[in-house]
Amino acid sequence: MDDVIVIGAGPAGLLAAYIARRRGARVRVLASGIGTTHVMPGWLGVLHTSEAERSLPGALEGWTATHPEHPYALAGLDALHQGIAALREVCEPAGINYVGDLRTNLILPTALGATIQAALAPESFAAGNLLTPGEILIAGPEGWRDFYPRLCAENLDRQGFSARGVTFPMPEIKTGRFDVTPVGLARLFEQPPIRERVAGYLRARLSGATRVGLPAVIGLERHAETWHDLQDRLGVPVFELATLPPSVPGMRLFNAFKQALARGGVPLLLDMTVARGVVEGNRAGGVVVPNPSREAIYRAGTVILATGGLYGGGITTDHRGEMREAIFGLPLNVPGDPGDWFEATFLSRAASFPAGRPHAIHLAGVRVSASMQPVDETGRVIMENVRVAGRLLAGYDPLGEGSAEGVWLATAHRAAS
Amino acid sequence: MTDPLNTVYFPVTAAILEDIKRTADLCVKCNICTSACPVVPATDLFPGPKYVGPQAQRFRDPGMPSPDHSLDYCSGCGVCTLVCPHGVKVMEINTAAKAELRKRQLREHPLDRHQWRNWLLGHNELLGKLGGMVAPLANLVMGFKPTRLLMEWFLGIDRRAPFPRFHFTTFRRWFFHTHQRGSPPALPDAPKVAYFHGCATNHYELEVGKAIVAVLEHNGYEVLLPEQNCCGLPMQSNGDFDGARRYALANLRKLGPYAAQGIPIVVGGTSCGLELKSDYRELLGIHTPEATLLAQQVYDIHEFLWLAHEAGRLKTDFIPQDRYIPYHTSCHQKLHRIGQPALDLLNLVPGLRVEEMGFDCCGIAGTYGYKHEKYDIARSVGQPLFERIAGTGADLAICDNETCRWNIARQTGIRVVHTVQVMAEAYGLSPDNRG
Amino acid sequence: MIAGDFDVIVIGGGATGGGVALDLALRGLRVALVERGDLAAGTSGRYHGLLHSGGRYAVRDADSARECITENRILRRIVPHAIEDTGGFFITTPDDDPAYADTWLAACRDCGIDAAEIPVAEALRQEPALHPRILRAFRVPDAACDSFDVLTSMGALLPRLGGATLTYHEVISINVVGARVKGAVVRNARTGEMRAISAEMVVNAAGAWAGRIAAMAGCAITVRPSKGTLVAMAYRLVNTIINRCHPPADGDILVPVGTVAVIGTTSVPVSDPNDTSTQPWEIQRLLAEGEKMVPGFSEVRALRAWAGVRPLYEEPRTASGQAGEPRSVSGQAGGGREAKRTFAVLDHLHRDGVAGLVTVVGGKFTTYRLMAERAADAVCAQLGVDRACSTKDFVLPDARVPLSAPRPHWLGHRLEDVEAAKGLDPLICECELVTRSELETAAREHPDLPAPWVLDDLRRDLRLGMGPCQGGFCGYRAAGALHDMRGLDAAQATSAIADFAQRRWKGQRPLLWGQSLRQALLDEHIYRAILGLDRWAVAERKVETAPAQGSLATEAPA
Repeated sequence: MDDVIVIGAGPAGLLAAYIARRRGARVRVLASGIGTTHVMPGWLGVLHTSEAERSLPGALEGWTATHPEHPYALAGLDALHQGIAALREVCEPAGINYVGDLRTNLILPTALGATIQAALAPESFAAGNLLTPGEILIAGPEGWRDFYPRLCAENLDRQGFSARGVTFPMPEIKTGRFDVTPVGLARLFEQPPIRERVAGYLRARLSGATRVGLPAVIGLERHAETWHDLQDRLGVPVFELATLPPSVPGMRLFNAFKQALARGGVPLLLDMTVARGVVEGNRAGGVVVPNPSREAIYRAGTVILATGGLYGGGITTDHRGEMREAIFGLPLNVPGDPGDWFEATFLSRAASFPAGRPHAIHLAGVRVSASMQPVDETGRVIMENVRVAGRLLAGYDPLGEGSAEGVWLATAHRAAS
Repeated sequence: MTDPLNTVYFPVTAAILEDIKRTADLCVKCNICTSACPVVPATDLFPGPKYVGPQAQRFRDPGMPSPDHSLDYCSGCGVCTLVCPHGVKVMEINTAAKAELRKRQLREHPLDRHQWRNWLLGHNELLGKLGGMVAPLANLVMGFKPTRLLMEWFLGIDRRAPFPRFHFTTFRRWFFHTHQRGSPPALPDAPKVAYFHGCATNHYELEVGKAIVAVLEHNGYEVLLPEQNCCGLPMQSNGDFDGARRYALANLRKLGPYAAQGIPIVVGGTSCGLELKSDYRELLGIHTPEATLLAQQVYDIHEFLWLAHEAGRLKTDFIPQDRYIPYHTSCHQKLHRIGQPALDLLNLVPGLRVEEMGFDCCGIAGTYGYKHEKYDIARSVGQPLFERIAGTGADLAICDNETCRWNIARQTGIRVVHTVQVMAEAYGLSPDNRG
Repeated sequence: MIAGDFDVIVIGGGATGGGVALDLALRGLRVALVERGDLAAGTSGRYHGLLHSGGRYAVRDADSARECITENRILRRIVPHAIEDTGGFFITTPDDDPAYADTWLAACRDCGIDAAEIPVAEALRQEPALHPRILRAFRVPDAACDSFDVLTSMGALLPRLGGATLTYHEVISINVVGARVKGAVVRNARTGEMRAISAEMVVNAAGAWAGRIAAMAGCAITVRPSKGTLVAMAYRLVNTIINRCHPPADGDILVPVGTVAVIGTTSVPVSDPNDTSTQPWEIQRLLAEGEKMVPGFSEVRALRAWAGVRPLYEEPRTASGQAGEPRSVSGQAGGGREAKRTFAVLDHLHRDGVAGLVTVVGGKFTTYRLMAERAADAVCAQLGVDRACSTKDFVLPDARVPLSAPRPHWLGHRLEDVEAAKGLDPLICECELVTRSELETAAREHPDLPAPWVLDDLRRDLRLGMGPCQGGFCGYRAAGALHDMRGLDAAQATSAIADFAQRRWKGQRPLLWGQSLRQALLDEHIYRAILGLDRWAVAERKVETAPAQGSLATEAPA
């Protein structure tokens, strides 16, 4: 029997497993597959700030004061900082260093040339901070379907950020059935001759640019050395821009977690879909994982649910409009009928913070106590040895608030402590 | 049992694709499978599991020839299925589609040397029998470079592919003629366990079988050896689903009585075990009560021993070791969805430091790496694993699956054994004791 | 205002209008085809994708049935590249009266439809997804037809025959001088520019909007729009068209259309032909009816829902058969399933005293060519042009590969093409296997690249964004590629993505549960969290950036 079973191998689950192990517990991670590390952009958003409130701590204080049911308010901002500290512990040995003073947000460019706020970003993203002035050269491989440097630069330019776009030849992506996902490109960049060629081409075309932005494909397994080398060869800071999935920065993070957990002797078991939990009174006795022959029961003192909400599969839905927490059938905070879940307009303009009406569905999830135990509408704890972390939680809108990463950082820490 | 060949299951173009089609429906195009596939970075000829799997599946009409080509480079390792967060059975979709592709290739190019090769590789059991009959000669010939060159030219079996050694005798003959005669009878209340050894143990790796028998008997089990034949996986993975089905139905007949009596059937080979547990139903479309009953009684040997430990039945009288051994978990082991019982078992041996190497696939993927056009891809896939193992400086490594063991041994030059062989040694059950 | 110069203006870029324009152009006339949106943006782009054998109408509407089977055979010859010969079944499910099948079979025979009973085991062998306890099964020559392919071919061919295809040009007024039609005034949807086009004849082929167009010339015709909802399931559960053998009702046809399977439909009278909304009860009804044909149907991923508006024509009560009206149909009030599905060609000279205007209305996609022939005959009669129709034998070239003989459509041919190309041409839309060079070729032929709806138009040409991910990945890629081609600037490219995303959303929103919901959340994550698109989103502005078409964000199969 384990001390802790974590269900879900997304960032919330992985961080919770790490923290639990660090506290000396015997931990096992069971997951259906790889989680949202592989679709995350790479930066860490904590909360949008506005013209009115530029200070991140100020925004957080204000937010938690006015949103007492929000995961930040429940877990406490201290958990957020401790979660960040734990993340650094995981990432440093893997050569990923996060940059950001946590006083004000970075403003980072997207692949489309829009802007996004982030509290922290990997150092390979940092030079893209638009609050820092400097001519930008956006560059990408010619003919690569997942990145368009001129489009990006033009959009940045019309927002007042001086930018130019250029493509560089990359014949390797045109040979037969080459892997044209970002991962394939990342592996190419790990080859010194290719870096040399790209750097040479771009260096000759810098003409005044003080930094160069590339899609986030600057190495995967040997990312740190790849990025440093490219920067050296170019002679100016190089920054990455997040791409369509699969996310290379996310994969770097996943690998960092994988190594940290392996060092700690924590089994990370994929394709182990938990079909249901074992409920014994108000406790979870364990979880059931069906395999081709039979059902196996895994028992633990504590079960941490980091199953990811509606996208992750932690909450299931059907055509009758029924929503269900997949493992223990925990009560869910459901916004009305299916007709109420979504607005007719897909994207509402986020010109100011808070954003335009979010789709109500984003707030759906499991309600918890301050210690991340699931509760019913009256606030009574339903299962005392279960903790919930990440997207499965109710009461927050990651896209509208810009809080996606902050919430898993804070709640993974809280759930595992 | 009435003749089931034509009546109790649907032809391959219907029910099987039907089941697998359902999971293709779940794909959200995230490409996580492509990012994890070990073959994709090793070659330009494979566009990735998502492309040949759930993506192309939407364009395959069961009534028309399959328009695929690049699908052939899927190795069937299953890492894609492992990592998919939405439950798409990517590898299984690819395997079923490959069967259709092979059928078409057979129709269009019946005299193609690759057809002969695939047939040979699919008839693993027969190869073992024939080779075994003239074992010393066969081994000599197979070790002879010109033979291998000829095999490569005429059949497309790469000259470097890791062939095991043939033996005169078989594991079964040893069990019945040597072991049973030389051992005291089992105790009357000893729990029974049936052992499915598979072709590789029977013909090539008798020591694995001997170790498994020894460990089981040491723990008080009476080991039975049912009539059995090749599980059918080599045929299946070479596209001959009909042939695989014949083998499957034969095994169901032979093993059925044991399953019906509730006797657990332990399997030493990871891939064979997966075939019996899962592929008979999911891929070959044999949805009979017998197939289900069999699956319910099949245990991977590590799984079985660990469950015995959890029930307090496993002896832990191990001789303390002071040893470091690198371990490779085969890709198919993870598809059993049983966790890592081998590592848990080895952890019981005091002083034994076993380190999982952390790679998804050694490249050989059953018969994939034997094929000339795929050998280099396979080696490229396994290269990081070989380097890491060699870098540990260990003189022994463990892997749960047979062709993987031969592959790693060939590429690293060190001896590679089955978990249970290490356990047997730790129990002090020397090769003589196992006599 | 700029003057045009044509013999005939055909209003309406659906199958009927396209067919009339083609027919007249083949007879040597200079034709302008005018459509306020994209070709097949109306009913022709929202139907079931079915090339009827006529079986559905055999019992209640024998005239329609006969028309269908005749035209079915002709269309297979003349638009082979748009037709997949799936064949069709009529099945008697446990919920249907087995005796009806005999009535139906006899009616088919009377109409000349080759319907043949097959053993249930045979039907189940061919379609294992079917309900295992169906009672009877019949084979009919139904087929699946891609209206987008047909219209694209027509639209591309017309200029080569001396005509013009004017999409995104809305007819604002019809020019009538002294009881004679002289032409029309059209407005460019994107620029707002007005243009007067002179012509001797105007053909009103505006389908559900035919009444509004006729009114512009002072003629009153009654069109009863009847809206029907359809749902595309994310994969092709069946490879044969499945019809319930019972009196026509909701949700009783399931059609494999390329990579998806479409179930339909419902029948709701509406007053506004622009109303293409879908209601939750319709979706639930379709899923429930689907279960009767295919057990487990409602568990399959539902990809997209949309509605099309049937143009049911209602003959005035006092009308009697007059010259120029080949069909006198006693229409029934309220539209719906009882209304006949035959068509009418109205010569307004005889009917209303207005020369130079012919309306062709009613009917269904399967009979478009016949409708066009009759309408063209009426036009030629007024013009005094003595040329016979040649569309029965004129094989339409495949617009995608115009120089080679069109080959019949089969499901795997896209995959075969991509496999043969060996990946040298990157896939922009992975779901539907659309390559970069295809996108660029189609873009070069697009009349108005900077328009915000450009991606939706290209979708109709190429199937871009019509697969499981519903544009989540390919929206950005396609816009980027167009920008790369210097076809549009960054602002236009960004608007195009936002517009595309909103339109895709419209059809996903009614079906957001299960895997479709997970997909939509991933797509939203890509657009907002990775690309930051909501900074430039089209917020409260309605989707009708293309003129008054109502809910443009939905479309039909294939």
